[in-house]
Amino acid sequence: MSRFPVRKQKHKLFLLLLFSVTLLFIIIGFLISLKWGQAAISWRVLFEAITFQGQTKEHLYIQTLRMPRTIMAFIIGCHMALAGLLTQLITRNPIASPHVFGINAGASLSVVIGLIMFSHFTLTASIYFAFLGAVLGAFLVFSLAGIQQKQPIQLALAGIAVHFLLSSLTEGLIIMNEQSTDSMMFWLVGAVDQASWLEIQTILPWSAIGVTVLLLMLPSFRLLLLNDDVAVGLGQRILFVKLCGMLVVILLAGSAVATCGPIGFIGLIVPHIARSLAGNRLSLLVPFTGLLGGMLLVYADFFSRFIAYPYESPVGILTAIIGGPFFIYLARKKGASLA
Amino acid sequence: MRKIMIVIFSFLLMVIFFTISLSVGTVTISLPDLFSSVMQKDSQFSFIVMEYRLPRSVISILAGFGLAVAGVILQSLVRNPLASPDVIGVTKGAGFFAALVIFLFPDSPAYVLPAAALFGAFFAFILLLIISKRLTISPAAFTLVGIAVGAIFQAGIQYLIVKFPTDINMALLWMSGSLWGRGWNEVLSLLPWIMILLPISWSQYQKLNVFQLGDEYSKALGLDIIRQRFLLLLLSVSLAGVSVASVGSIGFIGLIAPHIARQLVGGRHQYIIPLAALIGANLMLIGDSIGRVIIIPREVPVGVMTAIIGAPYFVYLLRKERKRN
Repeated sequence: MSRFPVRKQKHKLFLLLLFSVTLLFIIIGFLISLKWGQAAISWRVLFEAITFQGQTKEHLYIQTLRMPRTIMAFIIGCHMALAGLLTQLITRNPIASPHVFGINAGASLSVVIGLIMFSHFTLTASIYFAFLGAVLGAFLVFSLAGIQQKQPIQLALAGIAVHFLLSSLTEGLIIMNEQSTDSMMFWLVGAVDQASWLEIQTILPWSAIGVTVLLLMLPSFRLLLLNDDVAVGLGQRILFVKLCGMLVVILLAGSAVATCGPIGFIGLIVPHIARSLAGNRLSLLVPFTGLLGGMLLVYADFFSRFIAYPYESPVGILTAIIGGPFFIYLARKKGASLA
Repeated sequence: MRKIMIVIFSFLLMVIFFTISLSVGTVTISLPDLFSSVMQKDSQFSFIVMEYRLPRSVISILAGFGLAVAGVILQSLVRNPLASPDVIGVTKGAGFFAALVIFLFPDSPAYVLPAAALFGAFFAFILLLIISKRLTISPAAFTLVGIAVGAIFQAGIQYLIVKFPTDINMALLWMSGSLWGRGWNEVLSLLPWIMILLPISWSQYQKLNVFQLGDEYSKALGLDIIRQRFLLLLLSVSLAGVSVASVGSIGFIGLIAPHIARQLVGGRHQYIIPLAALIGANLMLIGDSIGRVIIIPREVPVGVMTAIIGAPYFVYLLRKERKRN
């Protein structure tokens, strides 16, 4: 029995409306994120900055700080949401996410190791390190819980055990290496406020690869909505499909963690909301999840500026505060079927 | 008989590790010197041993007892070998309130920090009770709620850390679990709790044996499930809370010690509880001893050390178990 009903199609008009409203919200999100923050910018200057006309300090501020930051928030949100959707599909587990998979913690640990070991640790290098760590984390979780784990709770507990283990190692490393504690802690919570155009250039190829593989494999991923037995009966190599899915998850989540730290809960929440709104057709669900994830993180980043105004707070705190109650809601709603 | 032998053997091991932990550190003390420093007040090393190492090692043992038994009870209650006091958010709750004290009231007297941590553990527990509809939801859902509560407290901790970057190291040290600077005062505040709670836990072994069979069995055998679950959980949270309050949030002991114990003596709690307690103490002593000597003159926090030592074994154990099923 699949936990997700396979047939759940939405009306065409509703979908059209849904996508247009989402796009509208994304545009509004971009605008408010560019306009308000530590310094408020007038609409005229904002317009000039977006069209690259003015050259004053304010224009530069928008162009070199707020624009890359907002775009980065969108990219990271997409990455995390899509990675979350895939993990939930692969494991047929409503509470799966890169966080629960140990991927975030593994990537964080290896990036911290890299930062401590090499004095000139470039972002590109940290992305490769993050991939390695992500593979390690996922491997640990799966070897604890089993890849064909029928009980969601087993995966969640294995994931959280690995998460605690890896993050205690990370914390230990940070304590032992006192010079860069503050900046690393900030990074460990997950923040987009330091993003620059260079970082966007570095992460975009990985987004492209991840999304391309995802789209190419889309017909095969549809099998993940079915029972394993049915899929095998249809002559599909289900293990191969799952491995490809894991690869995409690691590419997307790993590059996101390397760039902006382990921003949690986006990968858990967004797929659920997206599924309840857009239904189960993957050709619609995948793009919608990406858009929704990007949108949510842009807004989260915007509001996180005001948690401790005028100081920046990492956006990861806000996503955790939203995500925690959502997780509780899921646990209580689906609790009976999780045992 | 074999089971009793195993318990006795691990007790002897504990004595050995206890002695080792007294003798190693920045200054290595030989056995005869160690003996004389305990016996005579004015010998060369008696100050180091009596004032620093002895209380520290005693706390290792007590906290190891507490964390391990808390884990045993919890794993039996939720019927899952991967549960631990860490998982249900109790240690994170303690951590959050400890961080509040460290960051907001750095000048408060020494006894405030453990008290706040204990309060935090119970606060998390009460939150858990409310959200889990007074424990009427399934153990699996209960665990998930715990994970979520832990995540929220973690967000709070991270917020404090980012907001007050000056005292990060102190907070991180506490969070990862450290025995640094623990003295006789801490021993005295932990000892009575453990002395009371440990025998009570052992006396509940029959209920725990029944509980791990499943709710239907427990009901059939006449247990008032919700009430018993609450009482046992309270016991587990108290043990974890007092231990965490004195040594910081060390989660791994509560996960792995019950596991090893179960591997060695099977599923009966009259043996698991004492054996897990001893294994927990052993792990703490080993972790602390190695953490002290691995990069002299600095110390690796015992929480990090136990994770490093215990992790490979834990992974091996779980894989073995899975293959058998």
